[in-house]
Amino acid sequence: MSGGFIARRIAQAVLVMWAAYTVVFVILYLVPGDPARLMLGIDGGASASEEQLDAIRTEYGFDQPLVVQYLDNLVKLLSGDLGQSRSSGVSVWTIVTDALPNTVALAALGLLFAVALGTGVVLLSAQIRTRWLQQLLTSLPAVGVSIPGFWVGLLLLQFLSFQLHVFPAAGSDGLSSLILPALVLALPASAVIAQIFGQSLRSTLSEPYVDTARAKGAGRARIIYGHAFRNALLPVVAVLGTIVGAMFANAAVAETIFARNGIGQVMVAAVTSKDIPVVQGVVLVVAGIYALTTLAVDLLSPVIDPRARMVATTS
Amino acid sequence: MTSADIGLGTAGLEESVEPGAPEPDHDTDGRRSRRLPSWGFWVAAAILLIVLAWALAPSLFTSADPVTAVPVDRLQAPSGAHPFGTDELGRDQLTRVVHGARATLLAAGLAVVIALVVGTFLGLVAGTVGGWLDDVIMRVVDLLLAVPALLLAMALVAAMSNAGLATSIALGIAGIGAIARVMRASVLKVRSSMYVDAARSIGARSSSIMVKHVLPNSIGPILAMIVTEFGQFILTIAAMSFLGFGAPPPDPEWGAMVESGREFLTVAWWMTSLPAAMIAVVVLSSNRIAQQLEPKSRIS
Amino acid sequence: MTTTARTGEPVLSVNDLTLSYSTRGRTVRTLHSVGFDLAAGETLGLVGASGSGKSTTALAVVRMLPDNARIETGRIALRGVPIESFSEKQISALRGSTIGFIPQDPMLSLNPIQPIGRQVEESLKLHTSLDRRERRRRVVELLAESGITQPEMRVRQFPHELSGGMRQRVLIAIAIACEPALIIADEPTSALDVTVQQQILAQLAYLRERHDMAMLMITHDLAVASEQCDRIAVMDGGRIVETGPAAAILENPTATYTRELIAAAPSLSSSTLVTASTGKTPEALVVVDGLRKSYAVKGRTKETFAAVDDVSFTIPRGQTFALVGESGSGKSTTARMVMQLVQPDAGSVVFDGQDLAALRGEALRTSRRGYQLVYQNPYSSLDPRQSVQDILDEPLKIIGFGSAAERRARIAQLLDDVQLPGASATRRPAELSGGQRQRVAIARALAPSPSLIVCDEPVSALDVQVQARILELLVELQQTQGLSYLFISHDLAVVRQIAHRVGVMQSGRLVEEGTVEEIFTAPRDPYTRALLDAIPGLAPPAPTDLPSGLGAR
Repeated sequence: MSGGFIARRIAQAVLVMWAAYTVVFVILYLVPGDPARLMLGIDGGASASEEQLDAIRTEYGFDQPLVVQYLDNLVKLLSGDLGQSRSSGVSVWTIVTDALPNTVALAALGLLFAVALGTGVVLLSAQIRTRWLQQLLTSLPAVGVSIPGFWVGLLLLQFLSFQLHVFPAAGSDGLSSLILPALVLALPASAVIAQIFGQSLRSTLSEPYVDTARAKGAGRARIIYGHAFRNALLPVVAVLGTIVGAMFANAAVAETIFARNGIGQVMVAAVTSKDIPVVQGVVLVVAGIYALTTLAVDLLSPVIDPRARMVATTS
Repeated sequence: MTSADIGLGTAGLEESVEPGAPEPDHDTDGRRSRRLPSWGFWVAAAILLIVLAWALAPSLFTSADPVTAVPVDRLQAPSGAHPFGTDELGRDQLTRVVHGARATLLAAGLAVVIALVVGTFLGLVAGTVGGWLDDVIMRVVDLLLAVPALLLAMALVAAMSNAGLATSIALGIAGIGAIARVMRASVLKVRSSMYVDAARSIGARSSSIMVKHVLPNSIGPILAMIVTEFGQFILTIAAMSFLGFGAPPPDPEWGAMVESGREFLTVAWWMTSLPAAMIAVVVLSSNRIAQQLEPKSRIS
Repeated sequence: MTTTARTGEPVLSVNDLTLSYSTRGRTVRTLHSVGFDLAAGETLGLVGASGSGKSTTALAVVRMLPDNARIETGRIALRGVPIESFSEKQISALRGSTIGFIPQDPMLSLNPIQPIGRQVEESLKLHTSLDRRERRRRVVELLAESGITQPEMRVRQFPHELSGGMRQRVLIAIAIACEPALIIADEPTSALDVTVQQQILAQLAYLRERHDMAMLMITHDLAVASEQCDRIAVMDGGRIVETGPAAAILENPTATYTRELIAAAPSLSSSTLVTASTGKTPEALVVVDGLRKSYAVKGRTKETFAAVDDVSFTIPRGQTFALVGESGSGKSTTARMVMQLVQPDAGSVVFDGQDLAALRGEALRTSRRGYQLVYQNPYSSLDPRQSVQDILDEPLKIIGFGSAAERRARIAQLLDDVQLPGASATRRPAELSGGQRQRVAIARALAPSPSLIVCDEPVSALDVQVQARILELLVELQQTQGLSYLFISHDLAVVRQIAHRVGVMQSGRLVEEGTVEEIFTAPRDPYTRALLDAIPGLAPPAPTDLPSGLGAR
């Protein structure tokens, strides 16, 4: 793999981060409305006094011209300073890094479940011969994509935790407390993966090279696992970054339902209290995770797909 | 999040004919066979029309008041008088669901309009003009994917006072990417197709080629995508109101209704499950309609 | 893996095979009582146009038809054993071991993410008990036998690193790996350049001989069948119309259909549609001088390759100039430069005295009326959403032809010129056959009354009989309307029928140019000679130093 290729991909990841920062800045500072007022109260700061507003303005630099604010914040960001939480005064960086590992564990397990479930359903339906069962399996993803995840979470919580006591209802420790929220995250993601993989597998199975394998005398199982599977997986891998990013966002719902600590809960609290610096911090972190995942996928692509190797070595 | 978000459309694969290869077989009777939609499609369409009617004119469907508390009726199971039961304040749930349709659907509708207009425009420009402009636009569009829709919505809600509007705008922005990507792919495919070349060689102007040939042939894949996006937006809007970032109480909104039924899950299952089922039904219906609109792929 | 004992029993015996497809409640019969025998070591060619049922028959033997196909009656016997009622498992055991199958399109028939060595090895893994080392050794042997150079190195390569011809050789290696008694080759060379086709067919003949295999060859090309097959069975509409030894079929065809096929095949007939011009060559309509076009190599921005390198020729008024070459020769790019659809890096195109490169905007658009384009693929060159009426109306509206009534009249006349019924006007391209669509494309080209029509492989995607009709039409239009043609083709046999002058292109250069007579009877350039030699069925040119056929390119 050429150095140029790696460098270019890393530059892209950095670009994504910068873009996320700009988007957040635009949203938070350019949206009509006085940010100072906003930060002072849920009622839009209508009851704040002028001195309080001025204090906020000076503290956060809202009185400076926008460009200055933008660059100022950027510089701070690069040195790791994400500001302080408006509600608690704690450094945003600390808040985020405290909460992140929990959510990473959650998302990791969720991803595992999602991939296993999503590909599993598709592979099963490709091998099953009973008509009605096959129809059922193929219609599952469509349903999975339509059901609100938060409802599934509530039901799981109710029945598996409160009633059957199989899993703990709340808390952030231990593997067993991870499972239910991970499932909640996994369900919508697995449905999407099943849809992409399903479509990809169908089209791969109708490719001429699958006919060649059949003509060699390969049986159905060998065709699916030996030939079609890897090819069909490519589109799923390509969108891994988006899937992972969405999982982190949906963690907000899962962590709320199961009372877990994590980035999601931090975000919900910050939005409710209009704690802008924390909101910014969370968005940047999630964008960073997306960038990292996409970078990893890009760097791994020559390994997975030989056709990409030429690009990797010559660009 | 859907496969639509990720921008995977069927647009793209041109069938190439090798020199010397015999012509592929076609339908002997020549008619372009179009599959008649099955009953599922009609049911889905009916559901969506009803829900749309709820959103536009809720008072036509129910005369009860969705907001006033009627303590004597609290927590009644579904019955003839209250088909969806009542909540902890005694309010008829069906009425609240009917009235709640407005907030959800209108928000989703606005988001779709934003995504459609901006996305189509960007995709069209990127595909037709090409060159550095294409690169820039696609880069920007790709970067938009870095922030998941739900997160963007939350961020915007933190910045704006009107939570519903904030969510709509955020979702619209998040949806631009997928539509622009598909539109651009469609435009490129049409542009490189020979009939556009043929039009050029006759001497037609670029602008008339765009309007007459490129646009009508590119719109197809977008249609199915928009309907799917509509469904997905409804889910995200519901999730937002579940988290408390929707219309302020006592205005009814489906996601919030699911949330408020949470503590009564054991005693009054209808409070959470019926609004949630409503959401699922609406999203399922949109997906079913999108499926029908999907341009027929060559693989059956 | 044992050699067939010549017991006199045919390797493959098909009797009274009747097959139908059911789609959406309708059942369509595609094969009617098809029957033939294939003796050990013999090659039988199944020849027919698209839709004749030849591929269906081949797929029926290996039971690789789509699920909605049903064998109604008939027997298929492999070495005397009836296999038509075999279960999927049973027939799966036969595939690859007793019956080898060579698919049609080498570009799509190999798994893109697996090394080719592994794909050949899979055949051995499925049907032999060789251990890994022996398998690997055998794979290298097989690749070498199929004519692949440096097989030990190539084993690790991926399909996209190989040319079309080499990929086809890999597919051949896969098919013969377990030394099957029967090989079915489904249009094994249709997707290849004509010189590569020659090499592949020679390789197949060599392998058949060496392994004493029987071969069922499916092809639309009667000339290929006549060269390669011992016997030929001609199919039309799902029926076998005639069977017999190859030479006998060609010299004394009994069935009417066979006679039509022979008459329509350009390489088999010796007559041309165009009489060689005697007397003075008419004045030049188009003068092309020194055209050049280079493209950047994908991935390496510094490197360029010349798609068209210093090409010059003239097209006389009312005559046809043909540009011939294989894929990658630059002929299509040249045509597009003449049409001003691609900007040349250097050189000029002078049309009717006007330097086209000097024109811009409105002037350029107006000049376009004088030269029009007809494409190879009649489906993609017509907007699928427009009716024939719209398609023909568009150019008329652009040149401001006249009122709606006048345009309608002109459209009616155009349809008449291309011999299409007036009722075609309301149809859409999807409702027309390939030949009909091509006629519409020609009518559209005629609409602004041009003096030059550039035809880019206009008949390559058509069945041979339809092809003959279209060529006749083009010649007739040339005679009645005084049109000039720039005819691009890879098929020298077709070119011979219709051209006055021919230019041969290779790798961007014009290697030889002359009248049809000169090129075909006394070619000077070795590449031209190789091209002529590669045409199956055509009489070989004057032999001086003909390049040999075996060996991978």
